[in-house]
Amino acid sequence: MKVRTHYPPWAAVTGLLRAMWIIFKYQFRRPVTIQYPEQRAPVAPRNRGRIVLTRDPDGEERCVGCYLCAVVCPVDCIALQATEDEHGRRYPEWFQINFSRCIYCGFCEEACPTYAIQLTPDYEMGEHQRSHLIYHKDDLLIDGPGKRHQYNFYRHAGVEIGGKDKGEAIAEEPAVDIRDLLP
Amino acid sequence: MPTILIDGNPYEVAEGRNVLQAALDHKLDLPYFCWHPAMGSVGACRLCAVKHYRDENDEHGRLAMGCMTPATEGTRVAIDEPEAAQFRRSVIEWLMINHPHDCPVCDEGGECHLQDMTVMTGHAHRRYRGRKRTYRNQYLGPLIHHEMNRCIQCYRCVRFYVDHSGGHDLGVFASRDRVYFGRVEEGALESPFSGNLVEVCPTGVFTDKTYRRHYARKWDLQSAPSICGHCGLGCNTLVGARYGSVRRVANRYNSEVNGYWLCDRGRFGYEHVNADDRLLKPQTPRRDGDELSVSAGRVWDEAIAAIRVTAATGKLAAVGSPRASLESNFALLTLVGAERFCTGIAEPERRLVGRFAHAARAGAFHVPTLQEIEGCDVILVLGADLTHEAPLLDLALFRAHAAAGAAIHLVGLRAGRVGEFAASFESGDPGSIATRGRAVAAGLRADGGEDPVAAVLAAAHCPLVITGTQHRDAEVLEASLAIVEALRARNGTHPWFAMSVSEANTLGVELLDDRRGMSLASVIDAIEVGDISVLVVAENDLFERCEDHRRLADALQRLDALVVLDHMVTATSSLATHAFPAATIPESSGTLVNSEGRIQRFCQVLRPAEDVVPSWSATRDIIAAIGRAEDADWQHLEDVTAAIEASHPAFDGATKLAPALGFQLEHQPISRVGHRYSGRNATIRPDAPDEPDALTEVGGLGPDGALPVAPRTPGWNSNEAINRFRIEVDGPLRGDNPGLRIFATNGNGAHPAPSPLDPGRSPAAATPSALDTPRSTAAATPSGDDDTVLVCAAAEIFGSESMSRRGPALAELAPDTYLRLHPKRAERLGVVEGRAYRLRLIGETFETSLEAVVKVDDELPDNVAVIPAGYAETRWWQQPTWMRLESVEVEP
Ligand code: SF4
Ligand code: SF4
Ligand code: SF4
Ligand code: SF4
Ligand code: FES
Repeated sequence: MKVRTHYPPWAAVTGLLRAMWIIFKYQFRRPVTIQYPEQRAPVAPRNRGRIVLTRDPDGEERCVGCYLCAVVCPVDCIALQATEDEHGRRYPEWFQINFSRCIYCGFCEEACPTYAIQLTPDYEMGEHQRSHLIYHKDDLLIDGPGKRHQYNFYRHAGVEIGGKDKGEAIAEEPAVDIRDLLP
Repeated sequence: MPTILIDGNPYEVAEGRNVLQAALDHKLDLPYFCWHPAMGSVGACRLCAVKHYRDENDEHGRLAMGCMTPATEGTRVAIDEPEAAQFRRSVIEWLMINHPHDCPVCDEGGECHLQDMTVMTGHAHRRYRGRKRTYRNQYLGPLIHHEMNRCIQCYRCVRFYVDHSGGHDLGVFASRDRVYFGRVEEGALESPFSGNLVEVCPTGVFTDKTYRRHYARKWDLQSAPSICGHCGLGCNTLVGARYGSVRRVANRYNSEVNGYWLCDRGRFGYEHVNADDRLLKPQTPRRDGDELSVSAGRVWDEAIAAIRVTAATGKLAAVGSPRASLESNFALLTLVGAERFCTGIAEPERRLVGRFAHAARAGAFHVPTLQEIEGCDVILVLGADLTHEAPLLDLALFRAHAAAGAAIHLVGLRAGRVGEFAASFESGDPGSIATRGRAVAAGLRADGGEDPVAAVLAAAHCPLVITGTQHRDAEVLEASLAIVEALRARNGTHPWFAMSVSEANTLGVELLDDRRGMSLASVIDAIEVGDISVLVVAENDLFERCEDHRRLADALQRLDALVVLDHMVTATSSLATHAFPAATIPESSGTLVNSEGRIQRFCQVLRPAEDVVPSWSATRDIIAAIGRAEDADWQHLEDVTAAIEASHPAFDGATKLAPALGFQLEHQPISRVGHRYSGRNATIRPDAPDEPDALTEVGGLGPDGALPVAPRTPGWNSNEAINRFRIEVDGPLRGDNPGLRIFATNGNGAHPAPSPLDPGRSPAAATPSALDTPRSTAAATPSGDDDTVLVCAAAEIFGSESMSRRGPALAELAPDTYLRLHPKRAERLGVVEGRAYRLRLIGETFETSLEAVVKVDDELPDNVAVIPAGYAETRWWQQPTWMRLESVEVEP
């Protein structure tokens, strides 16, 4: 691309007039400013705002503590520690997101293999203290499944957890009998 | 060197390699599963398919397995060829048909070779819509978790477990697509090398059960090269930490020490670092028990006041430790002076170690590396139970036996696992082991003579004698040295000799004490006569080194001040007037000398809790606080190492073992974490170690040279990435730094020996104590009509080592305290197999009691009783002792 470095002397005047013309035109448009917070702008349902952790259709925590959201986060604002219950079901022992760093890019939601982490259209997260922007698991975990109503990771996974034995997941054969010698 | 054509480009490859190795040598991406650099090719997985052309005119070629195709001159293959690529993609697709949807909850995820290979072959979409085959898992003990659904039938596990390391209880079962890798019945895996399954299995079938409890992904682990501190072999480890706790230990490849392997004690023994019974705050146990009633500053001021006064009167002494670094011991030595320094090794063991170290330094024999041992053809193990004393030596012996057909002859109290593949085993008490050794030496001198063991040793190309220190018997060592000497005289070559030592720095602290300071017994004598009024003890529990516990406790109580630096609460720290928390190996940097005389550096992995500092720096602060700052003008560990180098020529070169302070690789310091490390801005700061050295928590990725921090390269996230960091697969690492050997080395055994053994070299303690005289193990009482038995201790891989047994997983595997007796002896004593007794053991100079389960063993000599070494209940045992037994049954 050729960058223009020299301008004719009258360019200053035409530029000024053009700018004035644009401003003049805007006199006849509807203003975009609204009176927040009395008035609120409509947000699209897929707008990316405050992050939540959702539950599966059975009401259990969806997050399995796989750390994929934490590693994909470009600003590194997610931290968690995985643990498991006595039946082998993994869940996060603690989970925190530092919303003073989060850029709402939605990568975590894309990376999450269980649809646990989701961005919601809520953007009203002002706080007086910065430390209050660090959300912990109690702040993040909601009671519903969010945008994905049906998905339950453990119904697909091969691991056994309380209430689901080997071979009971979706599209699984019952566990093989290894003593069976039939061809 | 043959030149082969891969995808039309010529590559030079080493002699005797196959196409897969050649491709990996040249950093080409050829996927594989079943080939392993140490275990070779079997051609089972069919993933390494390439197009193989007959000659330059062949246009069609045929599919061949890279790992089964020799890379000979002119071999022409193509990796990047549509049919071969499609074949490899299909192999993965077939494997994936049954693969569970587990990655998010799979501990292999992020370092999974199967994930890497799936991405590499380009299989991205599941087309199969049928049902998946499933398996039930087995309980495999507290160390290994089993998740059989994830298996891809590469057979690496059984090849390692059975063929490579000699295990029995893992196998492959069932037929057709039901093949199953596991045990006949559920139960803990018996092999002491079972932890290697975690790394050998390319999938998440076998995973580390201790890691599961506090799981973090590989990319989140803060890692640094470390050294295993749980026996004398000094295996190289890669310790991973996260949020201030150690999460796991993995193998760090060292071409001359441990290769790809670790034993289970080394891999799972880390849990003591996170244990609850750590000493974490300065405290005053003698006055306040375990209450923290005084501020850290007060404890420090009081301790310094006591030390300052006694330093002036000369009544100060210090006890170092064979489990502490050279630097920590050297700092203590600087504090009190060489004459008032005690190594902290009990005299019976110290005699052996001193004799061995000085003979080795003088070049009387060559101490082989583990790799060299694998090439020996006749190995005589005299008085050592290697499985339990130095586990990886057991593996080296098995390799020598399995790969090279070596004949292994054992003479000892217990055969351990080595007995399973040994050519002969003769059981005896320490006295008869020594006698047997002398007979072999005599046989060798008499040209083989009648003695069968002497005859095979005489005929061997590369004979090796190994002994151990567990019997603490100087006669056994002398007998071994006599055999070595006889071999030298006979063959005119430099004989090979190895000795296992019990702790990570036993040889180091022995060589550091070159001016022969005090023995432990003379320390106690001196306390009793009031010649020592303040004692500083670093990382040592004197109750593990002294048999007369009552006398020791009285002596320690008499001290005006007992200052203890340690990371665990021990019997000694509980009697301290002032106890200060010390850093463990992963929490500090330092230098250790292993049993083959190799100096190695371990680097700090994580920052310890507040108030916890390495012993050397605490000691430096003491020296400065008593007004002698110029004696310990050390800012960093390197300064201490440099001071050691300057004063002890034996350790020359120790400062070169790690990159110097301020070292940069491509303008960045070496990072302890990779660039994927997550959560940096979640307000939990990455726990940066505060001690400045060449490693930092920020900065570039680990180098591909001296200190591989956590091997991974693009496309290779699993530990198989190690091949990318080498000049050739299974060769040394690029910029390899396998440590520095301080014994005269002589690799091939074909050179004339420089000097015969000089039995007069063994230096005696400068201030001998009555207790220092070796106790005779020669039969004081002919067995039969007397109640006196020779009490010997047997090392236990899980349980005898003071740090590793504090972790819950290994504690679960440690056998209960036992007393093993010959059936006749048990009958005389009126005890029954399997029952627990309270025993009184009455020796000539001291007595003690013990609660133990009786085990009857008819392979045992009938004048011997065996107890486990180093247990809390048996730690008084220092040397074979004739004792009278009295027993009372304990109600269950
Ligand atoms: S990616 Fe999803 S399942 Fe994984 S840790 Fe994050 S929220 Fe949990
Ligand atoms: S073995 Fe690898 S591919 Fe299979 S579930 Fe585990 S991480 Fe995923
Ligand atoms: S268990 Fe692991 S090592 Fe064994 S065959 Fe299966 S995938 Fe291979
Ligand atoms: S053999 Fe010794 S040094 Fe090696 S891992 Fe085992 S305990 Fe550690
Ligand atoms: S690596 Fe060649 S067939 Fe498995």
